[in-house]
Amino acid sequence: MTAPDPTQTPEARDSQDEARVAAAGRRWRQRSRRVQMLRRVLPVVILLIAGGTVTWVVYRSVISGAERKAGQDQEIRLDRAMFHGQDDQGRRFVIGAEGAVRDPDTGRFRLVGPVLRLNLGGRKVTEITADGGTYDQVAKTVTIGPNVRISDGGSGFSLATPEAVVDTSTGIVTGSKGVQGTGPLGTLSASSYVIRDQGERIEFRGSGDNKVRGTINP
Amino acid sequence: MTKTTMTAALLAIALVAVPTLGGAQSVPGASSRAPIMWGADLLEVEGNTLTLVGNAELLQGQNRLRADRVAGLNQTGDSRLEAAGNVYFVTPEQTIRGDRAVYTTGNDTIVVTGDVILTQGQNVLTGSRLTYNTRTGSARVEGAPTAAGNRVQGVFYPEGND
Repeated sequence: MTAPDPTQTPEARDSQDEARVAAAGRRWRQRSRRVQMLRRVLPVVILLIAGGTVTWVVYRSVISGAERKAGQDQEIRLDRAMFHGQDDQGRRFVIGAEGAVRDPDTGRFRLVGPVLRLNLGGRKVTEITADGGTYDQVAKTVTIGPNVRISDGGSGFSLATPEAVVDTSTGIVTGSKGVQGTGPLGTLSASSYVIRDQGERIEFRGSGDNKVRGTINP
Repeated sequence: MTKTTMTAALLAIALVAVPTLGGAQSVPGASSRAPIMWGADLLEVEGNTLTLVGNAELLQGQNRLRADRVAGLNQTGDSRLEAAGNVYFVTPEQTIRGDRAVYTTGNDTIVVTGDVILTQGQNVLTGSRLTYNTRTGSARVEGAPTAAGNRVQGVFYPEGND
């Protein structure tokens, strides 16, 4: 605070004081307007920041989940796949394929050019080939077709059929879409078949009036 | 035992040779080398044992064998087929019915046992065992060895006697 100038008149000093008060008032009003403005703006900014933070957190969670799922959903492709196992009698089998693709939705393997060999280590191996197929590890089944060829070492039959279903837990092979073949009974045709005991026993069935038929050429 | 009784007993246990009831000696079907067509409701294959089950039927040439069950087929055709249940062996000349039959394709012989009925036209012959040669068409019927009531019996209609 400066000391009053003794040379000034009282009117001049009053005028200076009024001017000083007026200037202080203007500054106060300006500051007051900034405070008022900030009172309105800052909550909005705070809300924006908080909302952005929440949005970002949620977004990252969703994105990472989607990325994780995408990682899990990726198909697994195998070249020259080979699955080994054994049935409930301890007889070994192998399921091979030129290619195998794991379906992410079902977990099943889609087989390309499958080759099944049953009763490995036994005297007579049953071999089954086809153009394609599906291996369900959970259900323990292999469904193959079309163009299934069965070379049954146990019975000596060579069979052609559109489809074969192999239960890898029991080793039983079944088909119900017709079968033709050659073997100990010459040629034969049947509606369905069951290969049990890994080829040791086979049943061919007719359907209705369509009997199991064949010809022996002595 | 009188001579008549002995003759009757011999007939009862006799091996009655019947070179076809009408005396025909032609080959009724075909040789054992002819293809055998077969059919059934179910074919069971277990090891080397092959069995036709349910309306089993084998057709070789003009000969037909039907039964509920036929077992013993093999790849070469030189089989010993065992038929059981409602056995019918039908040739162009005769129809043979029995409970069981064994058909040995190697020697062209089928042996039908049980309540055997052989019919040829109107002629009928019954017995307990029939041996039939599928190549020559000759049949041989036997009665029960001991039971006088199971003698070979038959009805013959001479030609021109309708």
